[in-house]
Amino acid sequence: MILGKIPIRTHIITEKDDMIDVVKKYAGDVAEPGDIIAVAESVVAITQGRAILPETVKPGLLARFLCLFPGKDGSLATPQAMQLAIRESGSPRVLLGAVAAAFGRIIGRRGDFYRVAGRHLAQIDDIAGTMWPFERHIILGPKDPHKIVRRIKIVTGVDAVITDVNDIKKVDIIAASGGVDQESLIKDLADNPFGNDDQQTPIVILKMALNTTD
Amino acid sequence: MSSRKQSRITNIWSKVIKDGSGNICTKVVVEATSAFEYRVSRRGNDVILKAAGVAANMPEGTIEVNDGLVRKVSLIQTSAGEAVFEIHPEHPCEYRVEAAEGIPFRTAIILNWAFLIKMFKGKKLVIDPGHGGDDWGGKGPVSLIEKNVVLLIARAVEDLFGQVGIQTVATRAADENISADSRFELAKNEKADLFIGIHTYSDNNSKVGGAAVRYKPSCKDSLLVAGMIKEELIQKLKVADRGLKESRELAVPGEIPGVEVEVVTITNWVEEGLLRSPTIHKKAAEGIFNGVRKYFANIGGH
Ligand SMILES: [Zn+2]
Repeated sequence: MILGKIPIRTHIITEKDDMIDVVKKYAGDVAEPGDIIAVAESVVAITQGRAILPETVKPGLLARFLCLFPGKDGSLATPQAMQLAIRESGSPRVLLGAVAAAFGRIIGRRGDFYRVAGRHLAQIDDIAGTMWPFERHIILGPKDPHKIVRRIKIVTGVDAVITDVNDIKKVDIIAASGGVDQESLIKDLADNPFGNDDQQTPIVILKMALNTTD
Repeated sequence: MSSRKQSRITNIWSKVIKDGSGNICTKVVVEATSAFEYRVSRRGNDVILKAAGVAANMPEGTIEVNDGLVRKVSLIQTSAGEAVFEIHPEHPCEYRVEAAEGIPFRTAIILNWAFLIKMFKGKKLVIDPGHGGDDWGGKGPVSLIEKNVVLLIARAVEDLFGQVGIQTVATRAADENISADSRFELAKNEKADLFIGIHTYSDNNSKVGGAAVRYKPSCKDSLLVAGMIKEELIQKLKVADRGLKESRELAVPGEIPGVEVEVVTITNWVEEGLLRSPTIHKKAAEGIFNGVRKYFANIGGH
């Protein structure tokens, strides 16, 4: 049973930060065993140097061509973001994804691009104008998210998840430590307690009632 | 030394709200792990809240708000267990404090916009989303078209002004052909206090980016409001400053001041990306709103 959600404001997180240290510093005195520490995936990626300045990406012909096709929920709309998707998954897979999406469209099915080209590509955040000072960056998905939640659990003794939550009530659990009930967590995060700018409160602590057995 | 006894300050946020009686207010909320004691005092417009039995879990320092009434909020841990919150409004305002039990424990400082609402009373603006119909305006390197994005930004601008009781009249609400003359004439017919065109800039070099404001020559107030809008817009959008430019085509009749805001540069591929985000439309609108508010406050004396 959830008692409340505490958004945790931190300093501006950059690639110089270590995510485990950040969680220990800001959540260590607030979260207790039984709670869940939720961390925004984009901020984890930033600490891993996976926020990329589009100026440093040279989009090839394929990226320029593919980004012209809409229907990817606004993601991968710039040729630079598409180029990074190609770098992550390889051009054959991205191309196959695009073909699958085209067929999917004909039969009115959505989501085929990411199903074929790689679900991790859905975690790429195209230039969004939020997350200062990374508002002009393309932010890739986090690397080794499962390892990070395990380390948070070891260091703090509290269960942890890495999530992608947006303001249209879409919640993705990217990684969770063992003791997390993911289904009820998705409901608890649907109101996006992170707010629209992950940089301000990149951590949310879900306070749980102790001794519940349901 | 148990930190468990102290309430930990975890977050500060703010929002413009309508209170129970329908008055516009800024609500500044301090979130903490439990209740704490505080004393509130006033220093000029500033509201100062001294708290005891607290520890700053969040970083100390200043949070920019810039919502129209409140410029910024700051938190300083003055000694072990004591902290000071300072709220800096830009205009006179009344305030009240409300505390709400819960997890987190919330202490809200609610600041009334009555001064601004009075200042805005009777003001009317013409908002002109540039281009339309056969005139596409600029085009982004991927797919965006100026005539479409400026319409979205103009709507966000109208929403903000409408919320504080400023009347807005738009030159177009759809994708239609409208002559330059009839756009400017509308300002005269409506006896508007100000004409604001919404545009994006276009450049042959896709690396050029930033915001600028064009203004009607032969009118000192146009230059004044242009400067204020540009400053506040850049504060919100954090894009490059392309300066203020005189525009002879901006032929708003009579004494009515006129400006055209080039919100960002659509031909820059990063800024085209920014233009896809509703957050950016909203931030651009807030920047324009803040500039106009400063202008009305500035000319308010006469
Ligand atoms: Zn234009």
